[in-house]
Amino acid sequence: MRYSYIIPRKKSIFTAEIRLVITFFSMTIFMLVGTYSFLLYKDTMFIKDKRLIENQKIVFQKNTKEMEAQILLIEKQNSLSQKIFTKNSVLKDSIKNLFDLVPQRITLSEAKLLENGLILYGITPNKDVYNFMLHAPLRSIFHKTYSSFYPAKGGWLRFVSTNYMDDETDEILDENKGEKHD
Amino acid sequence: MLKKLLYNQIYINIIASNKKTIIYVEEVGINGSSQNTEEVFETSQKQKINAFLLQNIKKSPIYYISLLDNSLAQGATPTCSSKDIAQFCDMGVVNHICYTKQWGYYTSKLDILELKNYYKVTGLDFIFSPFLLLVNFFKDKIAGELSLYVLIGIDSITLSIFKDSELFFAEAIDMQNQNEFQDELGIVDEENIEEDLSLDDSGINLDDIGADDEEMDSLDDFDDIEDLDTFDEMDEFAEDENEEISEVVMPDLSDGESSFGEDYHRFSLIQSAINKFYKDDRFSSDFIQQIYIADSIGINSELKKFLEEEMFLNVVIRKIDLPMEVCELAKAERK
Repeated sequence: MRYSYIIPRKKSIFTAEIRLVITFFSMTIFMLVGTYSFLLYKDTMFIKDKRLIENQKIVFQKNTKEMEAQILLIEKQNSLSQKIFTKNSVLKDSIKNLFDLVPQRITLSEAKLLENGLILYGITPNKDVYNFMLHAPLRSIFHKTYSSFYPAKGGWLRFVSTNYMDDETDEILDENKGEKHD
Repeated sequence: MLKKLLYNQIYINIIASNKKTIIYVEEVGINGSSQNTEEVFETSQKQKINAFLLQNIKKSPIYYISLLDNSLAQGATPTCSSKDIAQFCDMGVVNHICYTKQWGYYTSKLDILELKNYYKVTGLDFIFSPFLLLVNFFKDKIAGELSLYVLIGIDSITLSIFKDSELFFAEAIDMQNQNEFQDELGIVDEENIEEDLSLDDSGINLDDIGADDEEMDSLDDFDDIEDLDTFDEMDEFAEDENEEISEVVMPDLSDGESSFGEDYHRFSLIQSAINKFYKDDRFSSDFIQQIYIADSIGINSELKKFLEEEMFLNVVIRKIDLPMEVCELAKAERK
């Protein structure tokens, strides 16, 4: 029941001091939460970046391996090409030398270049010309030389000269064996 | 509920009069324990009063400042019907509260604003009517036969006449404003009382209370009139008196606060109020035999003597602690 002429004022538990304390704690909590959120965000971003970088690293490593493989292949190809070039040069020189070796009296009809040999077909006036003017230099170049003759028109002889070189590795092995024996 | 668990409740109760302002502070703890302090200030020391109030307010945010209305324009109406209230007060300028369907009390809206303005530093939560206080204090009596109930404050008197819980008459009197008595009785020596009293036309036989030497004998005879207490022996009076005898507090005669003059002043005011009741057509008159006095200041036995001897009233005096009663009202209002 109402007795008083006036209505009492509403009483708040939030006094000036409490409001100050609440404001202080609110600000502190807000700052802490803010800092925590910021750090959390940064941490998440860092983890995300880390994952991205790790993925990139993996991709790069993969690419590097691929590139290394490619480099290796290219190097091999390069060395092969150099080897081929060298071989070709050697072959070219060899052919040039070969044709230089062939005397004017002997006519070559065919020449087959093998990997480690040379087969020559031609016509020689006689065996002696062949033996002295062609067979001797061939023997000096190749390790094994086989010659076969059969008669051609006009008293000339057709010849087939088969020349082989031993493998260098075999030679090296042989040399090594020889050194060991020594 | 949370408030009660967190803070003590401070009830600040102000009883203001023209001279003194009593501030009673009750601090109710969280566990229900209470601690009381009371300070009395000169009413003119507004700064000290405000400082004391602020000092207590700071103790807890849950505080209630209650004030006992001392407005001159306050009163009570023996009805709560808006039509009938108009006979007693102008509803446009007063704040009226119905206590029951049978009666209510009011005070001036302007005075409330003035009080709010006076205590604007601390503010007010409750303003209680002294009529309400009086009825609460004598709630065990007002349901009885026609009786006059008087609340004697520092410089105010609040009267009401009840019969069977029905209000017949009510009046609030500010003693300071009764110049015809105050100016004279406040200054005069006891020796001149006869002259002063001769100014009173209220029908009192001044010879009976004359202070001249010649008259002293007759005054002494008045002491014998204490035998009027034999009225108590009369069945119709003795019944209530015996019941209340333990409650009667006879104030210390050496107490300077309530002089003979003041008591006579009070008696005169009560007498004139009763006369007003008898003469006013608005009130259904009946003969008053019983008077209950709530004494907050410690009145002398003279007043009782006057009332008994001059008006043949059966007097019952109860000591009242006004600030504490106001505090109880504030607590009740909060519930």
